[in-house]
Amino acid sequence: MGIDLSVEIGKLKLKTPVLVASGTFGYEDDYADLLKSNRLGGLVTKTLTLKPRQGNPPPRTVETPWGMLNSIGLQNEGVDFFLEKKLPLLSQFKIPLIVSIAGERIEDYGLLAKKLDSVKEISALEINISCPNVETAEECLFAQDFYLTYGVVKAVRESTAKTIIAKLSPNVTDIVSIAQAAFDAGADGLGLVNTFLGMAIDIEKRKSKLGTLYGGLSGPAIKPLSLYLVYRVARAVKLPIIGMGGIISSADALEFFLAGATSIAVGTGNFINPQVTKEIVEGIEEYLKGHNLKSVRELVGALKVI
Amino acid sequence: MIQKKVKIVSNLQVVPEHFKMVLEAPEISQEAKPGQFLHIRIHEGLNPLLRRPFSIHRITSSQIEILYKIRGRGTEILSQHKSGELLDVIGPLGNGFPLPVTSNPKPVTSILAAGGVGVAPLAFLAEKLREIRNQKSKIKIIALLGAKTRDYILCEKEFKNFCEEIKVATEDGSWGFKGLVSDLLKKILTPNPKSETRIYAAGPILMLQEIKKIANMFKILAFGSLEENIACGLGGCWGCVVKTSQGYKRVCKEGPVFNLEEILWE
Repeated sequence: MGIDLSVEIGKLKLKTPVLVASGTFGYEDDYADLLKSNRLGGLVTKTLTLKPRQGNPPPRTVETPWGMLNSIGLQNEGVDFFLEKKLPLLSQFKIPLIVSIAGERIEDYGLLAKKLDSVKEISALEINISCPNVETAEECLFAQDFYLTYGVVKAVRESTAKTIIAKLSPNVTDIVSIAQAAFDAGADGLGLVNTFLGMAIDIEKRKSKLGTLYGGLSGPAIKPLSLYLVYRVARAVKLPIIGMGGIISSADALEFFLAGATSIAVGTGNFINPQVTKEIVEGIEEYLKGHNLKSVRELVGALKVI
Repeated sequence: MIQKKVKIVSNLQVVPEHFKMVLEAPEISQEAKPGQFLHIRIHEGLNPLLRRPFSIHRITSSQIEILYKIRGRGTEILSQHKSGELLDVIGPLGNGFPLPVTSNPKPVTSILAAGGVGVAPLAFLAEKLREIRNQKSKIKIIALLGAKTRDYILCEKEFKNFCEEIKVATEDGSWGFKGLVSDLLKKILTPNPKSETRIYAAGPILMLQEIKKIANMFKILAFGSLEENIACGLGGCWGCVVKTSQGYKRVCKEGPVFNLEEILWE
């Protein structure tokens, strides 16, 4: 009896429910080696912007207990460079490609979506409205405001027929209302969650240990926090969720399915072990076999609430 | 790039706070070039969470050595590993030191400037340069080794086998020249040398900044091995960047060795 690991997010069909989170898995030659024998359901690219971005001053990462802070600042060569130089390599792996996009204004997102809509190698778009390390034209992150979230998702929805996934920020009072805004504007799925804002201070220099004052916290330290947010949103909003935040093992992944995630993404875990996603897929399979389950979909939201 | 669990052959203290670890890793050692590094998972636990990068110190056909200083929790835990244990290692990574062309008939003087544990990648480089010299290239190898005191001098014996000249600088003057490696470097350089001179440097950031100035003053090439907090080690996260004249470059991918001229320190 075969185990069915496939899941769907909008029109996107994933062979396995395991993805890599944006910005944690490059498209360089070393990763090409890893991708030859992967079992990823999809590949999420590093976030692209309309124009190249030089990113934030170093140090851009600092390790904290069971986690790390980062302040990369979306360094990238821009969407045109990506389409010309990186896409040919990425599309050869036959894994659905989810391209992550970000902008400073609502219009930027619409323009990016329009540009990518006709590229057949791209399966879906992740709308990154939650990077804590970049300035926007607004007073907060798009994902920190109901109306801005609605505006961005709507602009993308009107520019593309591809599956769109809104990646939300945990740095909000009520993530359910933001998720609802993304749903109302036409998102096909939700990415939950981006990094938590955090700081680390060098007590001798009395300065931030990062090149910026604060950054985004990721890694096992945030797993209980992100799991809770996935649970909250899954109960309230009828959209498939890509759960992420501190997942480094198949047991972690299974917790997210039970809390209501349809699929999961691994971020910081790739740094500890670049082959961890393969081990997670195998671990999920083992669990399903051990529990006489036919499909991973049987686990989604199967948490027993007394 | 290879990821493998490899066996620790030995892990011994060489001078106070400094250890040398020998790993059985033929697949990695056969690919390794001077200046490249290994990205090592310190232990199975999650604190510290991230791997730690270590310059490749020496290689044989089947073994690979790292030389490291205890700096924090990660290296502390690493120093407690015993021979026979397994370590999850990724390598060889990054771009190493550019080597002189073997067919070059012109004489080249290579000055290796090491500050403290910065000597680690330079021992591998010295051995490689000697190999090239044996192929009838005219390379003169000079090593400048810097340490806090006499007790902290690393690899003096090894360098004797590879170099024409070795000079030692100690901060307290307990052995050799009293002062820093960069002071010693300035002393031995002449304004119009007869042969082309190249500097290969590794050590603390202040030393590399000083060497950049000296190289600029004497109009000679200087390559330095840079350090940054490295997360993924594979070029994926863009965390370990350094500012250069062509924008931010990754220490793990475009580096760790850079022409110091292009580095823009704040």
